[in-house]
Amino acid sequence: MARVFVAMSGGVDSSVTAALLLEQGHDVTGITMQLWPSSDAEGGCCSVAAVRDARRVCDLLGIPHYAWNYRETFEREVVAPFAAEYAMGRTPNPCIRCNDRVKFSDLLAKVMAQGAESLATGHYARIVAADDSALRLARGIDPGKDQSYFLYRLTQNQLRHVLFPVGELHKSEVRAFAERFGLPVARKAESQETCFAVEGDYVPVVSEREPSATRPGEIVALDGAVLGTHDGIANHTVGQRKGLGIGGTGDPLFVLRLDAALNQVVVGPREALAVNRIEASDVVWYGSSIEEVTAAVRYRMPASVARATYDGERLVVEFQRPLYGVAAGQSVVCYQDEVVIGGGVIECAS
Amino acid sequence: MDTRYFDYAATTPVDARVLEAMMPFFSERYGNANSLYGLGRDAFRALEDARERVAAGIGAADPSEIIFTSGGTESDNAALLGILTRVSPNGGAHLIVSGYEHHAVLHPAEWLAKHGYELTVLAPRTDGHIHPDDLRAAMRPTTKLVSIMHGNNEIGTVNDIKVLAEIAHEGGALFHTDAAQTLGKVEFDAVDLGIDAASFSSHKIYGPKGFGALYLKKRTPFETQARGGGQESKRRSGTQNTPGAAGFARALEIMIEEMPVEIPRLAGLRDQLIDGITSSLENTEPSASTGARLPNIAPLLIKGVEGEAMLLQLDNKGIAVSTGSACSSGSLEPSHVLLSIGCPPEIAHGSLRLSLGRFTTDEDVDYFLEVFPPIVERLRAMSPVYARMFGSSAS
Repeated sequence: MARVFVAMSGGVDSSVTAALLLEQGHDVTGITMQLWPSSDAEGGCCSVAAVRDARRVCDLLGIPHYAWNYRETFEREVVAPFAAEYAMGRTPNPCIRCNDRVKFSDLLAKVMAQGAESLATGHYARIVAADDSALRLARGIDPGKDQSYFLYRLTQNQLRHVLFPVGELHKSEVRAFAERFGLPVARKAESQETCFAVEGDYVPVVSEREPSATRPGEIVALDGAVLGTHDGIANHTVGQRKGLGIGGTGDPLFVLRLDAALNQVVVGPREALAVNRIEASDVVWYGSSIEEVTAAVRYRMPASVARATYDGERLVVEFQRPLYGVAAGQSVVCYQDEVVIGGGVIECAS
Repeated sequence: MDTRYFDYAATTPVDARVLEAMMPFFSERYGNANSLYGLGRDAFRALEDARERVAAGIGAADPSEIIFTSGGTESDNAALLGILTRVSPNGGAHLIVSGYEHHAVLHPAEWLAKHGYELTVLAPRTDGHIHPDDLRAAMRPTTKLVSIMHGNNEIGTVNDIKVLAEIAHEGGALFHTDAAQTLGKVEFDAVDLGIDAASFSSHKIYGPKGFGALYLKKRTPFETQARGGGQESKRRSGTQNTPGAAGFARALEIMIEEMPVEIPRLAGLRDQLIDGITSSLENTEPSASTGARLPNIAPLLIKGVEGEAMLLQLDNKGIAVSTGSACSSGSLEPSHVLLSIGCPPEIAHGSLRLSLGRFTTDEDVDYFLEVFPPIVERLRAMSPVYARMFGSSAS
């Protein structure tokens, strides 16, 4: 029996995580992180409703529950950098950053200081032993739910003290467990959006912190010709087609690049989006200097065959077939079979 | 595991004597105080008897100055909104509240500021008191209402209400005080203090939850905030809570009766806690320690440890404490009270409020002083180790 803390959002995955660990005989405590001030908003993992739901689940399971305030940390480590990245014309992934800089750092440290052996979350991912007795992150059993993309940055120290019980299950099994345990959240809708996006819209969050990112500017073609105006680069993403407001009779236009210095949205035909080679920095790497891998540049994207080269600083991933809509700031994550062998933050693609 | 309760400022258990006083009014003497037959007259008598006793307990000039409410929050809301909207129905008037009020005062004040009224939020000084000169300086010709709490729920400081009310009156404003924390713990005489309105809560003094009172001096302008059947002399509609009134009146009598013995006892335990902790642990201090203070609140700053972490460890040992004030979300914000007295946020995170009461024993205090220091030492030793291990940016 180990002392385990479970990060609980009030949702079905983390609730079942707590129930499973309890059934295995562990000494379980529930924690809900409060991340965001507009906590009266519905949904998200940190609303007042989420705290209440998590409390109810813990009460049902007969385990203690605490809400911990992470608003300042979350703002500093996730939201402010998220806005700053957007203002630079990049497309950051706040979930990866939150896992890296908040959940599996601050929260894990705080949980360990409480005398726990592990922190469990409701992520769909697995932790497996590698040949060299080190641990590796692997995809969750359920291919439709796998969340390893968000967790690729976990270090050995972190992997040793983290548990993902539902990663060994299919979502249908998780729901069945929830029903069996009589958890009140068994039929609750899934939350998919960035937790601080208000009704799916993260632009107000960006413009509040980085007003320059919502300053109108020019939409230009590859040759520099001005095609129209945009309402701020934060409103646009590489690969985006709709919403440019420059309808025409010719071939459809896509966002190719966001130029923060000139405050321009550069557009062009779909072919111009194609990239084969990605360079990433801020790399986590468990492989050799050259590895044959499959790699993804977005959550839920089917991983694509590639060769990865790591020189100790930069990771270069060369894909066999072109990818479309690769934005700087996103992460490229490399797999061998089901196992994550590393990844990094995309700096440029060509 | 028995709970060692150190959170009397959050709420208190109902005293057996209070419960006894309430019991007849649930199933036997259950009449509606507004009904015209015997059962109704009986309830009416009980209600008015309670009103007289509460009026006497707080030094009101007349029982009609007591409006029964659902608690401190309703009383605060009614006082601010009811007085200002009657004095100045179309907005424009100026309101002063202190920066470390309970949210039941701060939030209605902010609401008024968004709806046409002028608001000044007056900061307490670093000793945790509102200084008369600061209030004098904040007064404007348009100031119509000043609301400053009697005793603070987190740091336990008690303000000189008599002086502050006088300053408000000199400037032509009315004066309200939130006395939820001080009732029965600090002498309170509404006439002597010269206030116009005051809020009280029953569950802070071993009475039932969901009951309280608003003192409203005769002829104080007031617009009702609950329209309906016209109960409480048209100032607060809704069938009166007879068991609540009976319980509150009894609870207040017991408080006042026991004050001469209980106040020095609690103050002694409070000082024992503060001295015990600050002498056995480095980098600890009370967040307020000078001037008039509540006898039952030990407000502590434990530097380098988060209140949340201490609360969890103490909870595991069956000790109930608060890191500030309990709020509806169950989460722990850096306390606006500590920030208002100039405490830096990183230190405010290490806040621990111990509040004592009628059933706190010497053994409880001894137990706390035995259990607490090792918890802090362990957290102080382990937190940085794990922070390094997991690349945490935690301070």
